[in-house]
Amino acid sequence: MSSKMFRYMGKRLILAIVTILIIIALTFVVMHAVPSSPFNKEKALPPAIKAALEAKYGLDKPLGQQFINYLANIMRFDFGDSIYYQGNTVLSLLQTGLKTSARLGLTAAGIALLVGILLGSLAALGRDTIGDKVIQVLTTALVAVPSFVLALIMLWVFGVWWPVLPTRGDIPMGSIMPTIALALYPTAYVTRLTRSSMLDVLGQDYIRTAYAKGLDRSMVLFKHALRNALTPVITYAGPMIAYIVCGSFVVEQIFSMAGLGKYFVNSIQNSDYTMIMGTTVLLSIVMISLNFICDILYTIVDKRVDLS
Amino acid sequence: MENFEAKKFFSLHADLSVFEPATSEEKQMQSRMRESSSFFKDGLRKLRRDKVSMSCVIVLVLITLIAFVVPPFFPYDYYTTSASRNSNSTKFLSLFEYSPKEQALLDAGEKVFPHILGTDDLGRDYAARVIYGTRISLLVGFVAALIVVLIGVTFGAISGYLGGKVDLIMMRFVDLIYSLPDMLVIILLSVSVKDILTNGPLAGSGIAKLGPGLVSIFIVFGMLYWVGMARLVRGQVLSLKSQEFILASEAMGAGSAHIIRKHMIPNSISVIFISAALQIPSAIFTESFLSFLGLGVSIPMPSLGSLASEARGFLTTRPYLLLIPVLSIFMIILSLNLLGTGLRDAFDPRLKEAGK
Repeated sequence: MSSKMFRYMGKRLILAIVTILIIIALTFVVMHAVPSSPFNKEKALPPAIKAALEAKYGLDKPLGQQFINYLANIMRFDFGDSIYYQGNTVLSLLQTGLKTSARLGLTAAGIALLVGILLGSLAALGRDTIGDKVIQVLTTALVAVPSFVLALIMLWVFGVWWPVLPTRGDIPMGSIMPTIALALYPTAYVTRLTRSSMLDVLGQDYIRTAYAKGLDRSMVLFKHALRNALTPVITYAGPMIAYIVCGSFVVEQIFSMAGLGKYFVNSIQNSDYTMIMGTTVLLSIVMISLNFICDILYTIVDKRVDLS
Repeated sequence: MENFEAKKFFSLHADLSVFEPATSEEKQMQSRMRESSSFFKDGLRKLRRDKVSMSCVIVLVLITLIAFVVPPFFPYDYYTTSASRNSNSTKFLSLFEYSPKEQALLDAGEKVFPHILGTDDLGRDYAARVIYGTRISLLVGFVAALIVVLIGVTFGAISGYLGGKVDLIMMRFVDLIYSLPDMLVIILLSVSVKDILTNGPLAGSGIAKLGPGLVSIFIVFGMLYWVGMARLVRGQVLSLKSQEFILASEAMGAGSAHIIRKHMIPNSISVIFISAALQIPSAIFTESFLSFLGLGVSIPMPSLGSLASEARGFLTTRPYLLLIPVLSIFMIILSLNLLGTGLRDAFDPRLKEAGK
């Protein structure tokens, strides 16, 4: 690993940290600017929460001091008490939700990558065959549908019209539908991405050279074509994480799964500000770190990337 | 001819006596066979030949016409419930069903416009709601794209044109905004804008009537989504700046304003246009997502997202309440996506060769 690479990593790391700080500052500003927020002193609140807030954030202290306290609390993953789910700390709610959400999101991401890469490669190899055309039409259609619409349509098709799958996410087999609903869009996207980049790679000279020196087809396809075709897929990792996190908000809500998304949506609808802040900060940290990792992975995989 | 000297034997001059003047017929053959075509015309011609893009244009024009021309002539609006319209009880009507009072009017020989798509649970005409919802969604898309273009192009052009330290600082700023998790920021802003609009001093003003979701989508697009456009325009300007024709123009004494107006803008307009076209579906996506979360347009104004969200409760009994707005979103986004690709292929052939 060159020193250039280290410099690049350092830069990305600083960017990631600054971004997280901005998000934290943004939540802080929002909480103080918004009229019905618990941080706003005129607001009537359950006395227990009001006392807890005042003690924790020192609402009588100057703003700078409050911000430093807020930062320090976040470092300890201490986001305070939930206003809507009284008697629960935000952290405990996030912890319960995170497990469900992580399982849902990771499975969906795994499906999207596996199925997408497979379908995309097949489509590229069978270019202009009927199978390729079908894949093209389907994926084009799928990327035009918002996540909650997909979830609702699946709920209707497999829950009402042809009831074969459970419509609740919190029972056995129940996670099948939400996972698929969440995975469909990224799968379609990965398929399209893999197809076009595979077509690109298959037309390169080095593939012809590989065939010419007598390598067999599977060797050429796996070692030379697919490996190089996958680099653009890694760049999609960031947007995919973002899509899956946001998609999980609505999918969990629709299939009533007790994940982060459901708590988040509920907290939005009930103006549970401590919960909104906590979830925003936590999810931002998760997303930004994952993005950072993907960035680094990409530069390791694709040596041609310009680091400057 | 006679004016010319005869060719000297060793001279390299052409022997003019072997040439004869062209006839007028021959001169005509010299004239251009084909009218000169500008870059823009060329792209349009390619686009017009593309069947997929043209059908998308037709679909979009149709949807836009329905959404913007029909409402004044449509007998129903999106907010009048059947209770306030004609009877004391709200009636949840199916397709083409009439409420008791309307049925009575019909029996009496009067004409009543049918509820083509029935009504929603409060007895509001569903066709009207879908039409108005489509209108809102389209408006959101176009206004958001406009905001992105305005801010992004200005920022990118300035950054690219000035270069140096200014460019560096401006691009660091862009990097920073680019790495923010946009959806979370949108939600956070929507929540706070909603709160400020409903509980703050702005409550009841014109902005508040637009709905917190709409206002915050516009704010957020103005704050976050222009960075992609800014990067694009900056790259374009940077690559143009190093081209010979700009140098030639500078050498001839052209000022910055002239160069920007006559060279930079015409040469990057297609890239801007394509990117803006692809921005519209993303805004519509965002709006429908926020509406689903309850952060979009304010009640009773419908948007396609909020209609789909409201239809959730009646999935088992009236699935068409879901399918109709969903189909509308689908058609709009699909056409815009395909048209965007078509535009890109027509106006930027280099991108097509690069795959994707």
